[in-house]
Amino acid sequence: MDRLYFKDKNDCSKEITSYSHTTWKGIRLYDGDSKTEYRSETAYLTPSRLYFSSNDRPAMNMVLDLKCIVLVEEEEGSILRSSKIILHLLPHVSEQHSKPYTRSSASFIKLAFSNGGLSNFKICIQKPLLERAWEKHTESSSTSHSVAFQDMKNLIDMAKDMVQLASVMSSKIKDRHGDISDDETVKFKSYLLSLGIEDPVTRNACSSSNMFCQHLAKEITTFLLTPISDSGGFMSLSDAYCRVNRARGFELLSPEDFFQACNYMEQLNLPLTCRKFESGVLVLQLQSETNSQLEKDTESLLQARRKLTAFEVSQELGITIILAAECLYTMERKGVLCRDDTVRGLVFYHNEFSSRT
Amino acid sequence: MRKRPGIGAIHKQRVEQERFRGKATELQDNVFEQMTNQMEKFRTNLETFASKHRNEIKKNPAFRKQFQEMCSSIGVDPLASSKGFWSELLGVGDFYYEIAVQVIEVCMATSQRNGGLITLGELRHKLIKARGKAQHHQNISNDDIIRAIKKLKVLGSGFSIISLKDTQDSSDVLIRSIPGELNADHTEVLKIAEAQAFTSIETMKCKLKWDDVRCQQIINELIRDGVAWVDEQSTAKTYWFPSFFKPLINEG
Repeated sequence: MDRLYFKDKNDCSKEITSYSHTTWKGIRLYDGDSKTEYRSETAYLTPSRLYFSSNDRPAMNMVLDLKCIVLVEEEEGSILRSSKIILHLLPHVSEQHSKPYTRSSASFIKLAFSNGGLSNFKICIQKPLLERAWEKHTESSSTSHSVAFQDMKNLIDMAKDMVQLASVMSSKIKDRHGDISDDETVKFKSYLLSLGIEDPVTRNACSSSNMFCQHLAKEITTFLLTPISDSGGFMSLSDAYCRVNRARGFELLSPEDFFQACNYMEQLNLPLTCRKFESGVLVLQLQSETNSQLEKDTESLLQARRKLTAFEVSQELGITIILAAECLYTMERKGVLCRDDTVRGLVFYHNEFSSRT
Repeated sequence: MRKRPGIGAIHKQRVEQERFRGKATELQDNVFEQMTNQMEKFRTNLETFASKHRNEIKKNPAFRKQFQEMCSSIGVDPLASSKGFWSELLGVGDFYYEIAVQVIEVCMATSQRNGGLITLGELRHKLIKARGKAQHHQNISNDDIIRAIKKLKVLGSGFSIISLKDTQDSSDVLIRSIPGELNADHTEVLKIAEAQAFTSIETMKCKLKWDDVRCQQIINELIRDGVAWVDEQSTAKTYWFPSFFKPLINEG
């Protein structure tokens, strides 16, 4: 209710006479779920505002700017309760006007139509909310840059409302777990993804219903299977990302899409899988490749040279230095290798300690 | 005898719950319908915006930056998914993802020399050289590059952004492209070495007020990581940092 403010009737009359064609009598206002003492004699709807006349302040109207409305719902009544319209509103912004309520904890108001007209109201309010006339009144500026900036601002304002709407819906979904159909949840998730809204719901975006992700996983595998097999069975995720995007040329993949798709490969039983090393490094590796092949190759190399650096391993086996280093660390953790860490660099030797005890 | 709640009351409660649940599904239909309508309207608006301003986004770094900031102020990430509206209709995705790919390539090419630590200035210089001659390819800002790099974190290659000072000057920001962390001590040494691209133990002791052991330890770690090189030919050993070498004018 803290989004409504008082305005002198004289200031409102022009807009009302020009634009308001339907009136409603006897609307009772609710602040959240609580009934207030406000029962409006007449209410008017214009393209930008909702006006309520109030008996206790005959010279003033109570005004709700339509741009505050995020969502309109109907609450069906029962024998004991009448049907109501719920208006979900944007959060409170500090304004200069005098108001009936300075602070309210509820993010919505309800309207009870004691004299009827609810269905009509529901229909009539959709039009101004879609048309968003309040965005059109700005003057067109001379410079194209300010036009661009104004257009961008309007667009982002609309996106902001969408974000608010999504957050209302997200909490509804959380409150009513069993009653949401899978279809609707999937649709909602896709809206969040389209808008780029961060939400726990979308975090694991890849699922059996996400065809884009599945398709990507298969496409990446097909493209990279040979190069990865040729380079020792491993490829760092960033290297893979570059190759795939270079090949695409346009409609490039975001790092997140790529990451999600790679993580999904195992579930789809594809020949490639994504693996994370302890250091946080991510690689794509052949499913069939256990570390054993790479480690066997490293082992043979060590036999031949007595000591190895990551650089040497990467050169000989044709893999990146990071991968070579990871392989050496893994073998060290297994107790196969020992490190010699000096200013000259990190060198690995066969672990003689364990083999000689 | 007092009447106690019986079967009738329990049954009535269950009926009430069923009715409420039925109502919930009905509310849901209406809500989704509204969301769908709004999404359609938004999509149309975005298409109009794109047809008018798509080129501006491609050409103008300041406009791009404004756009990004406005998006993050409302909790929206236009670069999250290539399937998002922003990518598909506005083309912001391709712009940033291409930078991301080029950043990876430049870092991979230079990490042997600088230990995986490159200044933002040098990175930008190399990116511009690698891109096409068209104006919009040349007009990439530090802000563009930083945003692209932030997206790369998810690929696990250890991309991180290190500020040596509080300014946003390109020479004061380092990009690390290999895993592992530079701790606070390492960063302190980098800060004092930045101006001339070299330092010595004496300088470190003087400026940082550390003892011999600590200075030597930290510099050794930087050498081992390939970030610092030793010059033993000077009278007092000096330590050079290729990350801070200014790009050569005639570099091929």
